[in-house]
Amino acid sequence: MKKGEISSTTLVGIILVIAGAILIGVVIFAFFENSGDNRELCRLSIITRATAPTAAQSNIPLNCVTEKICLTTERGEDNCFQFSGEEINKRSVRIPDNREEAIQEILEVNANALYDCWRMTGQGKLDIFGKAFQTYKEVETKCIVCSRVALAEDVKERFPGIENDLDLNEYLRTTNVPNSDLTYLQVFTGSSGINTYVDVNHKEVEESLNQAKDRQLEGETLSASLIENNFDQIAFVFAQRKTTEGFTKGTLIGLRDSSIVVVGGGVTSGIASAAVKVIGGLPALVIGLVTVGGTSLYAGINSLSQQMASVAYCGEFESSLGEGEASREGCSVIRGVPYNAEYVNQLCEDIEGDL
Amino acid sequence: MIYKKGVFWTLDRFVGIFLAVIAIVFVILAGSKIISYWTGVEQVRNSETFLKDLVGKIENLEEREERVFPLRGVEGYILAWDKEDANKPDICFFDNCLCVCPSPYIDSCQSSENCVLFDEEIKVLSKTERYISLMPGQGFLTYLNATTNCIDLPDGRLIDIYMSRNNGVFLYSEASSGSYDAESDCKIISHLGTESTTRGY
Repeated sequence: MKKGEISSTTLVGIILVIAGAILIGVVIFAFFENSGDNRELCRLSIITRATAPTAAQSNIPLNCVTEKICLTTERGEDNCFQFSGEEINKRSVRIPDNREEAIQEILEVNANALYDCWRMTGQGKLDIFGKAFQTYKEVETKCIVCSRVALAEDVKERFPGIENDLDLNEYLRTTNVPNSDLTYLQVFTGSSGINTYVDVNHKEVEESLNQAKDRQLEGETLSASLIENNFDQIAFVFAQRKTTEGFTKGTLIGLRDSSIVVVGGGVTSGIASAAVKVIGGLPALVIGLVTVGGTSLYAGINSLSQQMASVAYCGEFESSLGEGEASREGCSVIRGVPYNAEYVNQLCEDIEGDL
Repeated sequence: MIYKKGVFWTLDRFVGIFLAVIAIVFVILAGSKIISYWTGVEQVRNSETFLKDLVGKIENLEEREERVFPLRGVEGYILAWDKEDANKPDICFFDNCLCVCPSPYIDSCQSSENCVLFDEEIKVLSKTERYISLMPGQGFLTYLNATTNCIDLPDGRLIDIYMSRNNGVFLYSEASSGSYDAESDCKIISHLGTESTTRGY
């Protein structure tokens, strides 16, 4: 064999390597594509972005596809008009005929949707929106809609007023996460293990609601029809807001755009206090702060027509930092909001991913 | 490195091939990420995808049914043309058509990706508060509260679109405010309020 010539065994080796690589690649892709585990794909893309160098973050796409969950009492896959014309990542959950059991099923689906969103987005501790935050505005709240949970009309016909019986906050406080000894609330509050509600300053809450109504009357923020909006579709949204100008200042910039709520009771630390102001993107929705433990907190939300919950993290984000780069701070919140423009747009200035 | 004659799978070779496979898989995955960035994920936000979602909802609408659907906006405008209209995108031929155009001008809407043809009549309206130029070139914008025959979409944010079907399709929204030329193809249908203020620009 001449010097530099490729031997047949080497050639066979190269061919085998390439074939093996293609085979493995195809298997991996087939697994992810066909498994329908869009959450895992999304989580991987979030981690990829969060651990990428700052300058590259905004160039890494998020492979997040909103999961559409239809709650229905009937058979079939297309019972929710809310998802008509939408085919991707859609599933139906058939709820029992018994009202009490139906309530539990609906609560379970909502609790899991909140929990999955929280897990998928790194418990809110990852810096997902990097440089993109500074592209358009000094501070911008960017969002991912993790899932949309819709009630089919047959549910409301069979169980009139069922949306008023859904106490998600209590469910999260008393129910364990699947395959865990901890309740949802305990998991969300982390090592603090808090599982009780902090007293709510109702006076401040009422003032907050009245302010929201005043603004509504002035045509500024909320319309009456939307405040009275009944639950027929809830979006579980991950929202992140940060700034390079320092945490406290960052939480106060541009708050009018996304609205503020001030909730009293038990908020003692400066960071947590600022965080509470930030997590309340929707003034008319928030009435209760539930627990505050360090910089991780959990807030209970009760709208005029429904109860919803949000999990928030405020503080330094966990991500790779460039040399000489200061750690980045901000707030992330995962919460359920009625899926319509008035509500979602108050929380999100830009939505990423595939709805 | 010593190879025994006829023995291909030595330990060194096996490790080498194993590492090479991992490296190539990594390259394939990285490549696919880049490709998906350019071709897939970014496309979900373009007007083509928006139009597909919009048409999907319209097609599922039954006669005499009305719904409000929240959709994520893109940078552009929803416009519709009747088959009787003389001025419309060439792609509409002699049909009714619904388009999502990058700007409120026919010229920006000549691609087949922008428009969908309909057998039935389709109307688009939005109640809008915006500054418009009533005298193009004069340097003044006038505040207007009016109904227009287009929907100005908010890029990256949700917009509630009311849809109904009753011997034709009707789309309506309270569009976001913005500034644009009164000579555009987004025409004012009716004035809901007086022009209250005028500002220079």
